[in-house]
Amino acid sequence: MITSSIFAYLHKGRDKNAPVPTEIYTFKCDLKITYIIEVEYHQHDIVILKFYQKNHRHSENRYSLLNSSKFLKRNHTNGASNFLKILNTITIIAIKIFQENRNLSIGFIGSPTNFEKSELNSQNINPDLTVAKTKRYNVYSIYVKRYFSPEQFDHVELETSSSYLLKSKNNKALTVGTIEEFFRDYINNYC
Amino acid sequence: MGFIKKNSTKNVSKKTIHKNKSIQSKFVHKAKVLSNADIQANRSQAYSFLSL
Repeated sequence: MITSSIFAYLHKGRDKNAPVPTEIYTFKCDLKITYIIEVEYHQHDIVILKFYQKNHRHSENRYSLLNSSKFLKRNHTNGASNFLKILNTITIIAIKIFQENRNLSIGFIGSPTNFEKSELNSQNINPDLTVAKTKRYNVYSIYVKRYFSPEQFDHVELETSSSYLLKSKNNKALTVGTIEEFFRDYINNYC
Repeated sequence: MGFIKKNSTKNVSKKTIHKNKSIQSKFVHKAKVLSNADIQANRSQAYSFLSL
């Protein structure tokens, strides 16, 4: 049961420095790392969820960084169960904000790792420098299909940019064309 | 994050391709709305949808 496998989180309030209205949540995981969740509120009732480690917060690569193998080994873990609890926690936060406004559609972009952004992966890098089908995108896509019912959400994939939108079925005005324009503008302005 | 192991590519070029932020791309990524069949085919039946 997802609700029994989450981390205790705090709603820290609004990020006053963010370019769009953004609410901040934090939690500490089993590896004693604090995570920051950003919930960005955009037009068309779209929220974009992003998260990173607090100790990476000053890095422009914060969404791409990973725990090292050495760190995981030192903690006697492959990180999998901790990672699932992280996703569960973010999901509970997403559910909470959805229940406050059932018109909201929830989106994310699976950030590429540093390797996926490199020349070695150039065949998957688009002209706008987004990366197709990143590892994060693949994992998150499987995860959301597991829990978010197609009776309440349309699952919208934009594989070439590793973007995904859980479109609320209550929001009849949000079309596929608008979603495509949204992500084009989002990538241009915020990535 | 912890689930994904760092790819070890010590001895090969890992030059990151950087974005020129002055160029606004008109590249539009196509959206695909998944059918129920698409979703069911890619999820484990061991899990229940969340009741929202």
